[in-house]
Amino acid sequence: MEKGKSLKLAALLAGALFLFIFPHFAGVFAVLLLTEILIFALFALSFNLLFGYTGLLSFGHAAFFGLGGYAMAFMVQHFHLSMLPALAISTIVAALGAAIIGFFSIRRDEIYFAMLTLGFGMMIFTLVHQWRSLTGGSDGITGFEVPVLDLLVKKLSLFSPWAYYYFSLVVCLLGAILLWRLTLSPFGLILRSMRENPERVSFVGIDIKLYRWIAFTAAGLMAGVAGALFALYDRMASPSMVHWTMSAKPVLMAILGGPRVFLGPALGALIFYLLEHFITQYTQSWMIFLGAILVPIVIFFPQGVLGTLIAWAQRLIRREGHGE
Amino acid sequence: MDTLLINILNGLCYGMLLFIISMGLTIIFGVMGVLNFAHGSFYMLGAYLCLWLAPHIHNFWLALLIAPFLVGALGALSEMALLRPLYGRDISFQLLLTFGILLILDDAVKLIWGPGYHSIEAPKALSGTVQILGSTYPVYSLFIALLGPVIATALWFFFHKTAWGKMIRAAAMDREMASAIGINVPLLFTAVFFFGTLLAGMAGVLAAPLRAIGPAMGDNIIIAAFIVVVVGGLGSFLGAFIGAIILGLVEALGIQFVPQIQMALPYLLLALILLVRPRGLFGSE
Amino acid sequence: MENDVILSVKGLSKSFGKFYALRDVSVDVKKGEITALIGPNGAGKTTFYNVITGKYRPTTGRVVFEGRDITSLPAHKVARLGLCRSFQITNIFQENTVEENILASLVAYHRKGLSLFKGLGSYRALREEAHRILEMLGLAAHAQEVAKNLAYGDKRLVEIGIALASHPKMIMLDEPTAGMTPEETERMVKMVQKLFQKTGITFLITEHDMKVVFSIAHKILVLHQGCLLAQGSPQEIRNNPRVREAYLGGSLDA
Repeated sequence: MEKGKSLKLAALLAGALFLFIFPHFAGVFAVLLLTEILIFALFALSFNLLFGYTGLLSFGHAAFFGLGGYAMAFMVQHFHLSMLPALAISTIVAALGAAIIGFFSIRRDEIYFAMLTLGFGMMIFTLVHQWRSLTGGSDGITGFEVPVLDLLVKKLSLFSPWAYYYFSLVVCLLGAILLWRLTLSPFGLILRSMRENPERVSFVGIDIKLYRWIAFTAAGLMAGVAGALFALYDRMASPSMVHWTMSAKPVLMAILGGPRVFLGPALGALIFYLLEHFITQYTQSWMIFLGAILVPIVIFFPQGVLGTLIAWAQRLIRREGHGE
Repeated sequence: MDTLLINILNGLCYGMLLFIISMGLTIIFGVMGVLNFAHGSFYMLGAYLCLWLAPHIHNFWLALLIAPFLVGALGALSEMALLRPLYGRDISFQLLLTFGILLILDDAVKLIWGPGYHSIEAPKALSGTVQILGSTYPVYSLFIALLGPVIATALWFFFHKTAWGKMIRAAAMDREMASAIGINVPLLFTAVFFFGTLLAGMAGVLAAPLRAIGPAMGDNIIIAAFIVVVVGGLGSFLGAFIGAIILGLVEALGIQFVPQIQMALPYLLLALILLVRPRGLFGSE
Repeated sequence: MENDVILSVKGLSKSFGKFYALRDVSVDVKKGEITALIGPNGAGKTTFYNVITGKYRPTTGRVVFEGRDITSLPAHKVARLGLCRSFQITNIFQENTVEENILASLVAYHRKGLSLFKGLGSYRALREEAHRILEMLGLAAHAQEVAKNLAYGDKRLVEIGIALASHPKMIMLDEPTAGMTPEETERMVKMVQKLFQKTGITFLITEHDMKVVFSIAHKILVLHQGCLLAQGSPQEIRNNPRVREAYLGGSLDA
C-alpha cells in the first residue's frame, strides 16, 4: 500500500513538474497544443463527475462548455472586461444554465437521461445558431483580444501563447483540485454510492434528485470554465462548441483514460490530442483510427488506460509483497 | 393552402424515411437493449452502396434489394465480432462501442467516396411530378410517403404472423423469458441486428434520390431517429410509426409557421415528452 | 397501550391495474418485538414492504409510523424518520469498499452529505462508528475490501449494516436468509437475535424458513393472496386451522 502511494505521488510530481517546466523549452506549436489539452482535460474531468462518479452519462455536456465560451466572448467583445471578472461571469452563466437544464434532466435515468441531455444540449445549439444578433449565428463571435489579467497590483498581458498557457495551467489545476476535493468528500461518497445503486441510497435517507442536481450543476460550472478558456484560446466562440459532437469528446476522453480513476479523463484528453496530432500528419481520416482504438478499449480495457495501468501496478506490488 | 399541402406531404415523406430507420433502431433496442449510435451510419452506407451500384446494374429496384442486404450483413458481422463480448455490461459501453463503429464508418465512407456530396436520380418510373389539388409534387416523394404504410403493414404481418416475428416480439418484451423458453439468444441477437441494420440500409437507398449523399448524412439522421424512438417509446413498433409521423410533420410545418425556432422543435418535443411521459407515448413502464 | 405500537397499517391496498397485490391489510407492529411476516410466494410480502417504505404509493389505506402519517412519503423521508429496510436480493454498493458502504449510510444519517470539500478521511467520528458497526457484524477484517468480492453471506450482512448505520428505530428485513446455506442461515439468525438484544430495535422480517420464523419471532403475520389471513403469537399461528389449510399444510409438525 505504502509503495503504491509513493509511486502515485512521484508520478503526480513528475507530471506537475513537466507541465510547469516543459513550455520553457518548447516551441509555439507545442505550447498551443498543450494549452488545448489542458482545457479539454478540465472539460473531461468535469464531465466525469457525472459519468464516472455519479453514473450519469450526459450527452449534452458541451452545452455548458459553449455557454461559458459564448459568455466569455460576449463579455470581452462588448464590455471589454478584464480576465477575472469575465471568467467569473462566464462561470456563473454556465452554472445557471446547468442548474436549469439539470433540474429537468436529473429526473430521468440511464438512456433517458442521456437523451434528455442530448435534447437540451441541441436546443442550446439551435439557440446560438439562430440568434444571430446575440451570438453571430453560424459565424460565432470573433475578433476579440485576450483580456488582460488585472491582479490589482499588476496588470499582465496574456497575449503570448506562453502567458496564456501558464494562466490556463493555473486555472485548470485549481479547477481539477476543486473537483478532486469534491470526489473525496462525504458528498463524493454519496455520488459514488448513487452510481452503484441509486435506489439503495434513497432508502438510507438521501434525496437522490437533490444530489444529482448539485453534481450536474457543479459539472456544468466547471465545463463553463473550460469553455471560457477555450473561447479565448481559439479567439472565437462558435456553434461547434455546443454541438453534440463536442459533447461526445469528453465521453471519449473519459472512456479512453479511465472513468473510475480521477485523472483518467485528463490522461484521456492527452492521448486523444496526441493521437489526433500524430495521425493527422499522415492522413485526413483520423476518426477511423480513433474508432479503431476506441472499440478494443471498450471491449478489452473497460477501465481505460489509466485504470488498467493502475490495476497492473497494484498487481505487481502485491506480487512483490508476497515474494518478500 | 398549397404550401400547407406540400409541407404536409414533405413531412409525411420525411416521416416515412424516419420510420423505416427508427423501426430498425427500436427493434435492436427492444430485443438487445442496445442503443445503436452507428444506426445513422448504416443508413448512410445504404445510400452510398446505392450510389456505387447504380452505374453497374442500372436498376434502382435491384439496388434496393442488394444494398440493404449488404448493410445488414455488415451489421450482423459487427454484432458478432464487437458487440457480443459486451452483453451484460453497463449500457454506456454498448453505446460507446457503437459510437466507435460510427466513427469508423463515417471516415471509411470519406476515404472511399471522398468528402464531397453526391446525388443520384430517381428511377425512371418515378421521375417527374404530379398535380395534386393544383400543386405540382415530385412523384418519388409521393412514392416514399405511400411506401411507408405499406412497409409498416408488412412489418406488422411479420411481427404478428410469422414465427420469427413472434419470437422477436417475445424477446423484446422479456429477454430472460426468451432464453428460458429455449430461444437461441445469440442467434436471435445477430438476426435482429442484421434485420435492424438492413432496415437502416433500406432507408438509405430510398433516401438516396431525395437527399444529398454525403458523409454527414448519418450524423444528422441518427439524432432524429433517437428522438422518434424515445418519443414513441423505446422498443415500441407502433411508437416508431407514430413518432416518425409526428417528427416529420413537426419539422415540415415548423418551416412554414415558426421558421425561427424550427430547428429547435424536435428537441423541444423530445424534452417535453420525456418529462411528461418518461417512457414515451407507447412505451411500457 | 397505543404507545407500544411503532408501525400501524390501516386498510392498506395496492393494485396494479386490476390485480390487487394487497387488499385491505390492517396490522400493528409492537415496539421492541421481532415480528415475522410470512406467506407463500406472491402473497404480497415484498409489495407490503415497498408500499410502506415509499417505493410505491398505496391505492388506499394509511401507514402511521411512530404516530406520524407516512403514507405516500418518498423513500428517503421514510428512511430519515427511522424506518429502514433491507432487500431480498443483495442490494449494496458493489464497487465501493465495505467501510464505504456503511459510511454512505452514516453520512446520510448525520446529514453530512452536503459537505462538499472536506475530505471524508477527516471525519474521525463517522469512521469510528462505521468500525463499531462492522465489528458488531463481524466484518471488521473486511473493512477495506471491495464489497463485490465478499462471500454471499457477508454481503447480506453488509446489507444489514447499511440499514443499521442509519440509526433506525425499526428495520424491515426482506428474506435475510434467502439463498443461504444452512450454516449461513444459522449465522444470520444468531446475528439478528444479537442485534435485537444489543440495540432493542424493532424488527419486521419476512422469511420462508419456518424453523427460523418460529425460533425468533414474538408475533407472526400471515399474508395470503394479498389479504391478512391471521396474526398472533407463534403458538396461535401454529394452531390456527385457516393458516394450516391455506399455507402451512402439515409441515409444522415436522
